[in-house]
Amino acid sequence: MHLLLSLSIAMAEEAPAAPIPAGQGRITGVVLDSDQKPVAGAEVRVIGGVDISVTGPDGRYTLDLPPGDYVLDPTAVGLDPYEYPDARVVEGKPTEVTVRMVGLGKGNVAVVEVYPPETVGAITAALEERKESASVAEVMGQEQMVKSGDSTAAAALTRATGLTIVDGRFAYVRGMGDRYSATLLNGSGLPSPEPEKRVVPLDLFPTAIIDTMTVQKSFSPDMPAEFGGGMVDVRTRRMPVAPLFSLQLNGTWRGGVTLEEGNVGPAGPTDFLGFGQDFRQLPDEVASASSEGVLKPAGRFSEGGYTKEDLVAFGEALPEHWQWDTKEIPPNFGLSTSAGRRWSLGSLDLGGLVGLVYDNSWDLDEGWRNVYSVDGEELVLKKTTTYTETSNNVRLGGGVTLGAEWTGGQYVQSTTLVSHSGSAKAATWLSDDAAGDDDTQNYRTGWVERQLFYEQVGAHLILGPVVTDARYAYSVAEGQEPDQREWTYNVIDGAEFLATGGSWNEVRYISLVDSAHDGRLDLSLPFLAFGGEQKVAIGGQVVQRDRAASTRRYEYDFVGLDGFDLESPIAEVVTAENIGPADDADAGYLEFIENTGSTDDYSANQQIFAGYAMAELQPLRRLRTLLGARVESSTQAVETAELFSTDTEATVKAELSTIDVLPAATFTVGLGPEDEPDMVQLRAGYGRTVSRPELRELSVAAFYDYRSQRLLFGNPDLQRATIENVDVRLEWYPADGESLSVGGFFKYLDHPIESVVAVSAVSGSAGTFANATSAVVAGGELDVRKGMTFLPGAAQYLYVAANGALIHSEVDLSDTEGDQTSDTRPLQGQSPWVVNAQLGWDHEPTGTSVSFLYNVFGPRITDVGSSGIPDTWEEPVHRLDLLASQELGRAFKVRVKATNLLDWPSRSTTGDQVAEESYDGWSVGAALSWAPPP
Amino acid sequence: MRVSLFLALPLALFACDSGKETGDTADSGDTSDTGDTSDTGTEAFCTDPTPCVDYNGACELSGTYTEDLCLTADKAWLLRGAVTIGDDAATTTLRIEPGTTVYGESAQTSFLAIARHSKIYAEGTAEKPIVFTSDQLDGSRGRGDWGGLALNGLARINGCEDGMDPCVAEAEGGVGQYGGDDDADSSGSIKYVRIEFGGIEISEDNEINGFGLAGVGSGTTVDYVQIHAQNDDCIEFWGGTVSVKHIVCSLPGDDGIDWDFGWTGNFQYGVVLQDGLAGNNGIEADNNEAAHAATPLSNPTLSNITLWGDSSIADSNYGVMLRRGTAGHLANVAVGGFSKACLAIRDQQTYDNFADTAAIDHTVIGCGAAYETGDEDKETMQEEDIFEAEASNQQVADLMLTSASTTSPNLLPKTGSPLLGAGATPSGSFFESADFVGAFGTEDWMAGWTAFPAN
Repeated sequence: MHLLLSLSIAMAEEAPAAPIPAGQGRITGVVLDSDQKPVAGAEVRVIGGVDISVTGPDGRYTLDLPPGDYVLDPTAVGLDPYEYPDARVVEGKPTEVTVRMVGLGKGNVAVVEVYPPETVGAITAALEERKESASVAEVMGQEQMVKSGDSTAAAALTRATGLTIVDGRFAYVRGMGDRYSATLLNGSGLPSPEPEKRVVPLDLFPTAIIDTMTVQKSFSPDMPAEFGGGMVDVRTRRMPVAPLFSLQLNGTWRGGVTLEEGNVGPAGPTDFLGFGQDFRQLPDEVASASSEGVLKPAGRFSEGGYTKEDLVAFGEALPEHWQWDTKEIPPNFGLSTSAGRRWSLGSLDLGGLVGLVYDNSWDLDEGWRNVYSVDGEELVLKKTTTYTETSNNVRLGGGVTLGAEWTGGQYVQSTTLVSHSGSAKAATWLSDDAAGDDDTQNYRTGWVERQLFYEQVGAHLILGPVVTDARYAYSVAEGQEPDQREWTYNVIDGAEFLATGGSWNEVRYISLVDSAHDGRLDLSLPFLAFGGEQKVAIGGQVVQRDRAASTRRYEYDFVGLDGFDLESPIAEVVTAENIGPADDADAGYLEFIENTGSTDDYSANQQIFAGYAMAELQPLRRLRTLLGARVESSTQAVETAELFSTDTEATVKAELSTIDVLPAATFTVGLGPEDEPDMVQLRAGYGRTVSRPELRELSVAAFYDYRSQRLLFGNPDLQRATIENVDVRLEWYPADGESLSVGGFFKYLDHPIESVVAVSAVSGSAGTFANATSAVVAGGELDVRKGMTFLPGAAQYLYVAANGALIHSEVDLSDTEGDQTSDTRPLQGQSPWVVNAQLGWDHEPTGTSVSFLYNVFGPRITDVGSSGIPDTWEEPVHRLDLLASQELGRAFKVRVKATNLLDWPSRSTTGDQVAEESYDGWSVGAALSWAPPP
Repeated sequence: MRVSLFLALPLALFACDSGKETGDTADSGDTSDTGDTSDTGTEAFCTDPTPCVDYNGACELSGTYTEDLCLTADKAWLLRGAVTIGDDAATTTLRIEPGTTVYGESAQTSFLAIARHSKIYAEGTAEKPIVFTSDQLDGSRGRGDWGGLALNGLARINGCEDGMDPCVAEAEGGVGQYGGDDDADSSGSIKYVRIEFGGIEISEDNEINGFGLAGVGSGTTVDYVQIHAQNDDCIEFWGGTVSVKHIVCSLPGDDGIDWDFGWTGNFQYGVVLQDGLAGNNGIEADNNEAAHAATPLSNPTLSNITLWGDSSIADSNYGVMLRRGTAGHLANVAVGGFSKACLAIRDQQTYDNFADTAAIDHTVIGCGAAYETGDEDKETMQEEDIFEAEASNQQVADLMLTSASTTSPNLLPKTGSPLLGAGATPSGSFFESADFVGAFGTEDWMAGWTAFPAN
């Protein structure tokens, strides 16, 4: 493994052991990793000392020192000290001290932050990190992800305690909803490319470039203050120890999707690479005219303006992208490759890693949805919407890490990540009016392109006694939805007629760009006291975040129907010839108009200044504490063009500025046996955090949310909520790779932000946001991992892992105005329980691995009811996956994955009525990977 | 807390007009002096006429006004964007001289909203009606060129089932808030007014109607109003207690007469006349879409209404659509020409409301189909059980109207029409005595002040 390093060091270690200098003593020993194997290239010194000993292939070190008591401080690339052993040096004598290292580390006794190591994270190491973490955290190493067969980060996280993944993309920590989740990449914040969402969709990250994901559930002062349920910290891989190359090909067959007939809209030549904007760009002449103001005909008093002829030309300039076709859906396929190496130049190591992923998958989403009204005490069916959506999702991702490492584990590094995805969608929504005959068939085609660019530079330096971490990240997250088209037919006696009134069609161009600068500096000073190492740390963070969002909407309106056959496909109706006014005064024609409203554009920004001080202390051998506080100031501002204003410069501004002092305290008591007190740990923690409004939620402007099909308007009076968090957890680590933990938590949310239903003439379809009086979230968690080494034969390679959470939540809306039916209810999206279980067999002798994974969540509110209509609840969905892998020789590995074997329906209920039902479908996939040994 | 979509703007109009005033005064110096001078001419409609802020020959109105306005007929007034009278707290009054034309700018989403507590006095005459129309040139005008006229009042509405008392709601189209607890509230007086080529969709299911009456109280006068060629409904009531008379709805883009959220006023003499290009139901009556039993219950009384549909409109086209829990009393209604059916009653609560009383009487229907035969119409809710239980109702083959032309209509019954002499006036002092069914007997009250331009 540590080939390169060993070579460079071997010469120095060649000589036999030297005699102990006069007046000094010696500490010597071996550095072992968690597999009890010697670690080559580890650096060992004593705290406060200057001399460093580097271990050879046998893992041995030797330090000659004046007599006295010392604490050893080992460092090794990719490993963290498991402990900091005490050593007493006696003059003229050697003392043997074994040093143990573990794979990953964070929040250790001496080192502030340890960056993701280059080795593939092992379950053992991940467990060790949890053990060492001063806060309550869940860590998933890459081995766990690979074992789970999860190709994206979101899929992998489904297996962590108290986590629910919504839409396969968003991680809800303890089910608290995206408002209370946040995502960091290598410790720096990451903006969401999805408007009105706070959480970053995790399918942006292919697992190949991720080393570990940490879900931090309790607050420590060095973290951003906006922390509710938890923080997902995604860490990318850095330089490998040995040269690395891997290539993987995979394919998946999806039941009910592959070779079924799907719908497709217009397709561009580069869609298969995930780049489809050029094909769907708004024509330049329309874009430039539209940027000056809404395209409308000049009136009798207008200055300038457009003639009817201009508008006809604009209308004809838009491409005739009304195609609607069917296609046999091909199987999913993908490939990924990664390569990396390290060069040693004396005590300086240089290296890096490159990863590329391409993925082309299809989805066919079919289901139906009922909407009810209240007639007396009874729920009456209003309409049934049957939908099918075909989507073709292409992901192209790449990451490059470059770094230099030198003595004492110091390093500088750069992480560049580009994740690009494009998704072509074609959907039909058949709406059956239950009360009457307003039946409609709605068609939608569109393209959603998301891109995340992320660049982080960081340095980890030891400046005298001070450990210094400096990080700066710049990120740009973009969501582009060009050329979204929607049109409607009326369904009369089974036949479809183009609807002619209102907005029967629309062409939309939606753009959102979020950028962020995030800089932070962390300084820590380790020192010796009370027979152990203590640490004080201070730090600061500055964040500047900016967003620009815009939407352009156009429509073709019938003026007269003479000459039109309304039963035709739309592609034969909305054509250049039919856009008018027509020459023949009596003939009907289509008029091109712009529907863009002034509130369709907005800009927003946020500045954060924060500083903290904390101490990690070990006053007694069995007690570790973390005490500290963070001060964070935030200013959020949103600017929206004023609705209906004649002054295009006039804007409505909303601003929210706050300064918060956020204390935190954590206590860890080792309850294990004398020689290993940390084998059993009791932790208790308290922290205060905040929940701030999403930028858009502060804007007074009403806007139509195409995703929720609702008119939404923000609330400039929103206040940030404060959250008091208490966590208690008992953990037992009986052996490497095994653990048992029981935890409880309690959160009190003061004035949490909730979405409420506005009383509006736009019946039942307007939403806004308000501060509820309060909310409480409390629960318990259990996590077990157990090997079966006591069993005979091959059965000893069996293992089980299971975790579950019980969560009670209640929000009090009684003083909040609005037309919501329930004044007290669980938080929206909050499941009362979540269970994950895994039964596996890892047969190392033959390189065979098989595991079953099971996941289920309790019922949760998906839609808040209004006007006496009950809330809509999503019922539990049981999910079972099977994963198997087999090594073929030293370089090849084949993996098989069968998912969603139960094909459990996703069903929602409103009162006693079924409101929605859909099936995800099963899938079977295979992957072949090739990774030649170095 | 509630969110107001509008911030009270500083009165830019008055702040910056001093430079322009001289020029404008010179223009109109012979008809009216500026308010400060000692002009005591008894002929002047406005004692303090609103000065003109020139915009390419028109006088611009924009933003929120918190001081009284008086618009004179000698100027062309142009609504630019949202024009709101009053700040939803104090009373601001808008007066408009007979014969005035107010244009809505089509390059903006333009409309005129009267906030709660404020009032409009737009009282034209049969000879000099007040006209709200599109700023497009004649011949280029069309449905939806601008928004419309919206009145927001303080009368009761429903929709706040949980807690909010009095119920206050956000109006459609973002034109302000409406609702309160003063059923006798007055938003002013509107007489001899035409509203043309309005109705704009702001977002899906969220439109500005031609003439929107939201929570408007019974102290308001509405008489002789024509709403012509709208993109959305002609006249829509959201709760409130206002009563109206002599309403002409020509060429509606959607429904003719629409009510929701607990309207309890009266309506006498009304016409809905469709063309073949657009349109929906003649009357579309709801209580509350989500909660059919919400109170106060929609329960108006309508008499002497003529609803004339265009049977070439295939899309959901009923003469009278009663649904979602509304109550009410329909008397002397003439319905003809609708493609689907003359009468549709949906939802059990609506049906019960109309079955309990003789709520439809002296009504004559003549469509291809009399009653809705939707596949999901419950057998227990047959329209004929209600309609035919009342002996004064009739089904006829032909209403025998003189002419349903969309350019020069004459909707008076021909001699021998089943409508003549078949009516009976509902009780209540609001209703004038009339012995005919439909809007007209022998007098054409529509003549003179209305207009039916195609574009």
